[in-house]
Parts: sequence; structure tokens; C-alpha cells
Amino acid sequence: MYEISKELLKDKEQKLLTEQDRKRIITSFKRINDDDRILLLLSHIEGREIVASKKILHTAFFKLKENYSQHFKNFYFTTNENYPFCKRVDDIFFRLQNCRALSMKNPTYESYLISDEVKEMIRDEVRPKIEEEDRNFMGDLSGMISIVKEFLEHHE
Amino acid sequence: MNEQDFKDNIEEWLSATLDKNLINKKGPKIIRDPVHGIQRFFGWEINFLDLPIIQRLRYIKQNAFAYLIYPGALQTRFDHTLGVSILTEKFANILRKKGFNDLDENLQNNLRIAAIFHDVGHGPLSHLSEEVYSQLDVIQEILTKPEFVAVKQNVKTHELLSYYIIKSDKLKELFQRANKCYPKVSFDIDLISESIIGNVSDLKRKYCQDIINGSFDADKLDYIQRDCFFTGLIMGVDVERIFHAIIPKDNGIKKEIALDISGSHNIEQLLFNKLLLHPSLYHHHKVRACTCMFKSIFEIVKDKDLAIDGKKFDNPVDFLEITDDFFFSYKDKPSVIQPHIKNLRNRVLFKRALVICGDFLNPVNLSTIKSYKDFLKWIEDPEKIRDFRRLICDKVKDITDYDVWLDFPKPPSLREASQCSIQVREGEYKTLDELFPTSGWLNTYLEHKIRGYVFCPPIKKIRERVHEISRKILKDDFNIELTEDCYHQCKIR
Repeated sequence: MYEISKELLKDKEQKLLTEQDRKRIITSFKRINDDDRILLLLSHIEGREIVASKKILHTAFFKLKENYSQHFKNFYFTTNENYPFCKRVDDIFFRLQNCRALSMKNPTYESYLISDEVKEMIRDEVRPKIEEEDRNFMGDLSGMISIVKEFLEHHE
Repeated sequence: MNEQDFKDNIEEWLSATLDKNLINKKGPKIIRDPVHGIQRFFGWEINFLDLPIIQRLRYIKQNAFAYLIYPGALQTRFDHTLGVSILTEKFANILRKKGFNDLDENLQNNLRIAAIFHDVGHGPLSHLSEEVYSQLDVIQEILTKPEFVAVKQNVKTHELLSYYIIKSDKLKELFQRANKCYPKVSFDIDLISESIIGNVSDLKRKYCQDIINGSFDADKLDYIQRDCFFTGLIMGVDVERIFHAIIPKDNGIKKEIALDISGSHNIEQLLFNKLLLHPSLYHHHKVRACTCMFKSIFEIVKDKDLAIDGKKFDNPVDFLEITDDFFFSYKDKPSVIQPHIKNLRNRVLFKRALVICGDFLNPVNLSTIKSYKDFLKWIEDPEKIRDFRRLICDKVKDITDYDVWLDFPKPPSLREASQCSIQVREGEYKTLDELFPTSGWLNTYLEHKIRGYVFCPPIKKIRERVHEISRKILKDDFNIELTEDCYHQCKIR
């Protein structure tokens, strides 16, 4: 039989969440984050398909960090291997794929697809929030887009 | 606590545990390993294997509580250490035969020492306690140091602890003593420690790192075979064939290990099996349930500011001082954590109340995508997971937030495929992922196989209630609606 600590149950009774606590928790999940910024960048790539091996992808973000380090402070790159690697980039792409903002092209599962509908959602919902909360990022956006575009096209 | 305090604590622990007189003349031994067969260990190796800090690995299970799911999974970090040492010897012999002449007997001995010490930094229940102490501030602070930032993507916290143990004054003293007892062996502490964290500074010796902490290193070749052997999972690794395909790669600046193309599919097999071991073993829902129950114990210790045997577990060294058995005596522990230890000990484990997966989003529309995207990012922060648990437990009678968990295991990585150098023809190399789309496997896995869980006590009424509440919170507060699969996969009967 599963045992539950009576002492902890008593504590719980005294520490129930207030309506304010609940609000704080729920609203904290809607803040703009790196995933949104990356998604906004990707939405500017023409067409539905983002043809990018891991090597191309990580190197593109390495270039972005070189040129716009202020927006990629928490992106640490390992540079002593075949290409600069950043775990954070992998994690972000995993989450974007997992939530279906990006999907993989069947059957190789090697290039990312971003639908027009998702692009629309980014334009209508993500972009205005970034514009509101992170003006510096928006100021540098066109420069960053051209790096990503140039890089992906050049290495296709 | 800062880095210096941390170092001092390690010295203190080692001084209390080790005495230089532990190193003395010993004869060789023959040890029979169930996976690799019979192997001879030299006298100087026996000296290090006999050290209390290595012997404690006998009491740390390789796969933590996996034996509660796979009864045979009783292998320990000590068994694995011997296995890595055996395979390191094989690696070195092959590389020397194939032309790495500077890999002399002395360097080979140093690599075997690196193998013996590579897991010395593990806490109780291996990666399970690592999930707890890796969150401590001092570890996060150390990982931002310039020498670690370069390898931050790779370095695991237990490797970091192994690194600091080897670099300690106490270990230096022992190595000096060993040098006197065995004058033919000259120990290179920097090489040993750098090999373990995978950051050898001398590029001419990059192959040392490849053997101990590389894309198909002795560690991986051992643990995949060993974990399959002891769990009974039917997967194979053709180690002998991989060894035949190993070739030395030297571009004049860097000396490293590559593989002839004839052995590439054996590495693919290794990586594919590594991926498959995640749903079967490392991410098995019961294994994850044990992980959450274990983490609850430390949350209570922290929240209540408890000390057990004088340890508050706010310092990584506290974890080095104990082994798995610490968690199986509950009568000597504070009463508030006794029920939690008892539940684990009696195998009364959490069960699934909700299964979360991208495939279960209902409906897959833009609004859901956006909310699920925000949610996945939100739960990256352990504090937010705690908040989510609080939201659930507030609405469910008779449980506390220590009895309910939201668990999203870290996705596996097949990064080795982009690190592994394959010789396609004389002097021409490609990485494995350039030859074969291994990232496709990983992407498929990440898109369809990875699961998050809400766990709770194994009481039907509570499971039904936690399911209902957590699903409602996701829908109403987070705008994430899930299909009925999120219920069916819980198998609430």
C-alpha cells in the first residue's frame, strides 16, 4: 500500500495556493523566449522546406552568435569538433518539432517543414509579442535573417 | 558555496577516506567479467581498484532502480569500470598495431587509470542522483568557467566530479606513492582528467579522449552491451568488428581515431541500439516513476531543511559520501521521508495518470501548437514543474505535491554520428551522418516516441482524479487539449 506522509498532508492544508498564486503560475508560461525568437527567424525562410543538416544548422547559429552575440548569450558552442555545436540549438529544434510548429519531411526525416499556417501564426501572434518585449531583437532581425538565408542557400 | 569550498570539501572527503599507505606492492589478478570474459589486471591497477573510493562503486547500481522493472539489472558501476578498463586495453593494442607508435605502454597504463576513475564521481543510483546534484548552484557556477564552457555541451556532472577528484592533492599524493612503488609507470594526471571530461588539450593525443570519452568510446561499447546483457533486452553490439575497422587518423596537427567504412554499419547498429534502449530502459515509464519518487525525497530534505547523518545534500560531495544502500534503511531517517523511502523499498511505485505527447494534441491547430510550444519551454525550469504539480495537488485530496510529478525526460542524442570520422577512401573522411541519415532516426523518435508523464500514487481513485485534474488544467489554463490516448496509455484499471 502506498504510504503518504501525514505530516506533509497537514502542511499542505496550510499552504494551499491562493488565486494570486495560480495567476502567477499560469501567466508565467506565456513569456517570450528563445524558441519564439528562433521560430520568427525561421518563418522568414522562403518556401515550406528548410533543408538543413545538423552541420548547416549549427554552423548558421554559430555565425549568428558571432555577429549578434547579444541575442545568443546562452548559446554555448563547442568548437573543437567537425562543426561548431550548441546543445541549446538542438533542444530548441526538438521542442519546435515536438509541438508540431516544425515537422519533418517524410521519408528521410532530414529536413524541416514549416507550414504557411504556422508562418501566419508567427506573424500574427509571436511577432507582435517580440515587438513588444524585445525591441533590440526586432532591430537586428533583418540582418539575422539575411545571415540565415545566405547560409542555408549557400550550403543547400 | 563557491568552487574553492567545493574543492576543499572534496579534499576533506578524500582525506577522510584515503590513506597513502593504501598504495603498496601488490601482485596482478585475474578477473572474470560476465560480458568480456577473463582479463588480467596489473598490481598497480589492483591498488587503485582496491581504493575505497573505487570500491564504493560496487554499491552503486549502473541503472539505478531499473532492477525493479528488469530483475536482472543488478550490474554496478564497479562492473562497468572493469569493462571499460578491459576495452580500453583492446583499443590501445589495436591503435598501436595500426601505427600509433607513441601510444606506448606507459600511455596505455594511463588510459587504463582513466578508465578506472572515469565514473568515480557518480553518486548513489548513478544518473538518478546526478539529476539532483547537477541542479546545485556550485555545479552551475563551475560549468560557466572558460575551461568548461567549451565542453559544456558534453560534460556530465559526474564526469566533472571525477575530474576534480583526480586533480585533488590527495590523489596526487597517491599517484606519487604509486610511482615510487611501480617506477615503470609514470602517471599523467592532466591527461587522465582531461580524457575523462573529453577535452584533451594536446591535439596529438586527441585519440586518448576518443577512447575514454568519444563517439564510440570504451564507455559506450561497454555500457550498451552490459545494460542489454543484464536486463535481458535483445540487442547486440559487434565490438570485435568495430575494433577491426578502427584506423588511426593523423593530419599532422591532430591524432584521432577514425573508422574504415567497412565498419560503419556496426557503429550504426551501436547508435540505433542506444536509441532503442531509451524507450525500453532509460525512459521506461516505471524507471522514470522511480526517478521522480527519488527526487521527491530530496525536495522534502531541502524544503524542510533536514539533515541526514549530518548531510543536507546541498553540496555535491554529500552524494559522494553515500551509496545506494543509504536509501534502503528508513527507520534511521527523519519521519517525514520514511513513507517515501518505504514506498520505493517495497516497490509501491508511482503510476501514470496522464501521458503527454505531440501525437495526442487535439485538435492540432495553430492555437494548440502555440500553447504546447510555450508549455514545453516553460517546463524546462524545474521550478515550473513544481508549480504545475502544486496546481494539481491543490485539487486532489489526500496527496501532497511530493506525491505527484510531471516528468519530461531529456531527449536522447545521436551526436556521435556527427563526431565519428569514417574513412571512405585512402585519406578521405566523412562523418557518419554525412554517409547515413542517422539524424532521421532521432527525428522520428523525437517526433513520435518521446513521452511526458504525470505520475501519482498507484491508487485507482487518485489516478482517475489526477488524470481528470491535470487534463483540465492543461486544457483550461494552458490551452492544451489532449485526445483520449492520454488516458488509455495510462492503463488505469
